[in-house]
Amino acid sequence: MANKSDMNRMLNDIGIVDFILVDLMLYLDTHPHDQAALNYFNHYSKIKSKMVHDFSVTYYPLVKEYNESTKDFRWNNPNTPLAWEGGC
Amino acid sequence: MWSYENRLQFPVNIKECNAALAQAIISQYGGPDGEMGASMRYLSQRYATPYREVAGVLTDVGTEELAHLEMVAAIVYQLTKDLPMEEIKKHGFDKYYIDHTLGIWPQAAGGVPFNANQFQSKGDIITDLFEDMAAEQKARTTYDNILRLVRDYPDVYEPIKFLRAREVVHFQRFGEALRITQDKLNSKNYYAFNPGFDTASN
Repeated sequence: MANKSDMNRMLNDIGIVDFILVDLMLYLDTHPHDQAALNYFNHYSKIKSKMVHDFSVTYYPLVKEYNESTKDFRWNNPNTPLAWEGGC
Repeated sequence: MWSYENRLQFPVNIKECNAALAQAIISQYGGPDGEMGASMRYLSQRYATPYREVAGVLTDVGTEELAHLEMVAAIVYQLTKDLPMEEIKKHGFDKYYIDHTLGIWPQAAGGVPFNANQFQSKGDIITDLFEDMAAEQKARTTYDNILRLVRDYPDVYEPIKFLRAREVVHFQRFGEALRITQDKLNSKNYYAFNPGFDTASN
């Protein structure tokens, strides 16, 4: 697998962008007419989709939909970490 | 339906095992104010609300609670991974170990198993939202209690601090959902009628 620190940085960045979306989503649930918040949501949605796709192509599929995009894809690849394993 | 992303909502990378901390933190997996009760509470309650905004809050907060459930499990898993027998005995983890080895099972810190009676789905959105706001505060207090216990363990402290902060945000959103609900009621029905059931009184 490619450089592990690059991979962890990219995964961390996805977490940051996803957190923006999660928090905005709850805000929009109770403030559905806030156009500025809606614009932010749409903006970061596109960024996150691209990041998840790029990560999946480079390292391992974060979502099963991107199995096909992952280089040298193998089902249940033993080199793919599980979310709860931690980096240590 | 739900789909799965193979990552945690907030990173958990614990370098040192600690069975005593795992024994305490597992309460936020299956304890009385834990994430299992939280997710099941909101995802069960959402069917009975007549208001779309409130159904949206319950779905999205309930979904986020599933991600928190996974984070708490990851913390317990990493704190007990490859735990040697002496450590299990020394830290009093032997009682848990007898029934579950090092598997993850929903129970409170004191060993009481998860039980659906730890939450309610009353079929009355006013009643349910008051419970939800209380639940977020109870979970916040539990995370504050955990934070005092893990002050010297930064690997554990940071994800718990994140989870605590989310309780505060959820409390705020449920408060707004309650306000939205009450705005839709007539002046004679603040608490007296169930807006999803006593339709004539809306």
